[in-house]
Amino acid sequence: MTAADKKFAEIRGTVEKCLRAALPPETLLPAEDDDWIESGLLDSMAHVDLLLAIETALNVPKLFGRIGVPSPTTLLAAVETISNSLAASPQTNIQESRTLLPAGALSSAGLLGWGSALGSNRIPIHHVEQDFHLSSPALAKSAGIVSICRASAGEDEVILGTLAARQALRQARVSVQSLDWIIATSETFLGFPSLAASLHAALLASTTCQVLDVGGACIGLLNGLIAANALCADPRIQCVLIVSSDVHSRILNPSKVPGKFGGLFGDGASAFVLQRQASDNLLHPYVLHASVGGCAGAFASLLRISPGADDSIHLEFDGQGLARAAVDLIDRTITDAEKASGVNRAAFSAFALHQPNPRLLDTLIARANLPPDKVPLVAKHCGNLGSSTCGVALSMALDAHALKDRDSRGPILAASLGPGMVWTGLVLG
Amino acid sequence: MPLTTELLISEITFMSHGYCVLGLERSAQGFRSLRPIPRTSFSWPTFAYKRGDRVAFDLSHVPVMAPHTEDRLAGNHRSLGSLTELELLHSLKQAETADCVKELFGCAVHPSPHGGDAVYVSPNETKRSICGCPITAVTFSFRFFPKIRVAVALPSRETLYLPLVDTQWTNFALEIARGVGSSQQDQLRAQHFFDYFVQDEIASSELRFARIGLSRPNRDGVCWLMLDSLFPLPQKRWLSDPYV
Repeated sequence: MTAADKKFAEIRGTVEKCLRAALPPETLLPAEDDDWIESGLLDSMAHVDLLLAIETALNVPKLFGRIGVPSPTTLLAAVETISNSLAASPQTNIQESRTLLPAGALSSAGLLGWGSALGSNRIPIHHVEQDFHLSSPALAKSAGIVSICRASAGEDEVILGTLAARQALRQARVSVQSLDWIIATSETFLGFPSLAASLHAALLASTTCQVLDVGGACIGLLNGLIAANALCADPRIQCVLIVSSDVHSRILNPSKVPGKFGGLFGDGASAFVLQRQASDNLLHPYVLHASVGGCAGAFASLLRISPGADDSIHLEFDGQGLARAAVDLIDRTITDAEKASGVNRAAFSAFALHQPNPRLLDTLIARANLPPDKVPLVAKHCGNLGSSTCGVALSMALDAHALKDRDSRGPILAASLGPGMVWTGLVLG
Repeated sequence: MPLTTELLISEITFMSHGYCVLGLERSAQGFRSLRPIPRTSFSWPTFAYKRGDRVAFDLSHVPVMAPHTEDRLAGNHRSLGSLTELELLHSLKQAETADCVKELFGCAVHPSPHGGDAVYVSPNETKRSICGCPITAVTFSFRFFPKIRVAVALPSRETLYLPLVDTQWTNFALEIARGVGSSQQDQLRAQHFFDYFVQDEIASSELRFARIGLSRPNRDGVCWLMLDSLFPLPQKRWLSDPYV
């Protein structure tokens, strides 16, 4: 078999796999020249979804996007279109695209350190209900929260972020002086100097260490990891610290927001050290293997939060709608991440997921058919930590798996979503 | 007993191998949408009228299934004249309208379960299958040609990515596409025509308005949102733009 034949067979296998996933389980695959739409196998929307799934699975975005060139509607046409497109664009090959760092690449940057810090006051949920003038067990019952972590008077985003960062640096055995970048994210830190600059000062990083603040609210940490990984493509950059830190209790208090919203949130931070690996390094840290994500403005009005007049908060919050959309989108993110990485969800060691509340997490676990013991729980005992929820969950997953031998551990999937609605999924392999 | 009813033709959309038609009936509150359907199908194999025409139909009630409660069996049609685009739009604004996604069909929308941009509603949650809304911005995508997707932004700052089924806009886009070569430069040129010229024309128009409809429930029992009408309507004169 020639290399071209092998590539053709590989593409055909991917198309068939995506087609099988798009069809009802009992349906046989159509013949290679059966028209999917004319035969009634797929409707127009399912056809577009299938083409998107193929693009994701091949890691080649916008593969089919040509004006005047009909999108393929048969197996044969799809395989030929893909083969021709890849052959016609030498700069496009399957390994490039959205796979951030191909597994095993010598220059890949690995996650060598991680850490977390939680607000030091653990508040039972019935006290939170009292604070927000809610009848007990309103939050315990509807959200399944047992307690939340709140920052003490002496703690803020910088303090918690610094604690998490020091843990991560210590574990990575990296001096703060070797950091090239500090990337920070927070959904509660509003002042200037920004959080990244404040962490830079608190950690006493080198003056040549650059800083970057990224947004995205609950997806901020994952956005930060993607940005860090992209920075590491520059061979001059050796080491990046990524920190999330959120102190909701100072902002979402009973005088400003209703308890059914404000009572869900806790305070915490997470930190990660991403470091370029030498080619002869015997360590096999997790590397960012693939990323997926997007923004669906159709759901933007489900949660909007902004500063109001007189230090108030303007909140639009459709709890039921948000819960439904969150489960739909995180489930979809997991599916997309599976396709992008080529890893079946059964093979993952852990799922570090955003957790708006524990009830919603239970729904998601059931819907996505995830083994509950592979999902580190954060919100149940700490509350929703915003951008740090996923970070703390990821830190717990790394604690459990990162030090294992590469052959005896599976990849880790991290997924989150935030207002917008924005979502991101990462596969660490 | 069929009643003779005047409908102002507001939508003619592509549906399978025919056309789905909607019209406006004058009501006490303004206008309401009705969907004249032929005896044997939901779609017309051919349709003799155009958007803005006033057409008399003999309409009778048929058993309807949610959300397509506007369906009426239609026969004996004849022309009564026609209105301008502006007059039609004035009437549409007095029919079903909403400013945000949730109010379009009186229920929440859901993301496509397979990863696409499209959104759907559950038929039993909806109160209608067509609704108008003001729009603040539009973009066109040809990623899945000959299917055309249009993103619209609503005043609520929500966005929807919708399959274009409006016959006038689709035919206009296909006419442009027919003349596009396969070179990357040609492709870019055509996309730029929509990205800049067409979008600017829409953005600067006072007539910005969309009518969003629901597909019939598919085999999974979901109804996709579709772009049934986009105002302003495309103009022949745009084809003389240097981009084309």
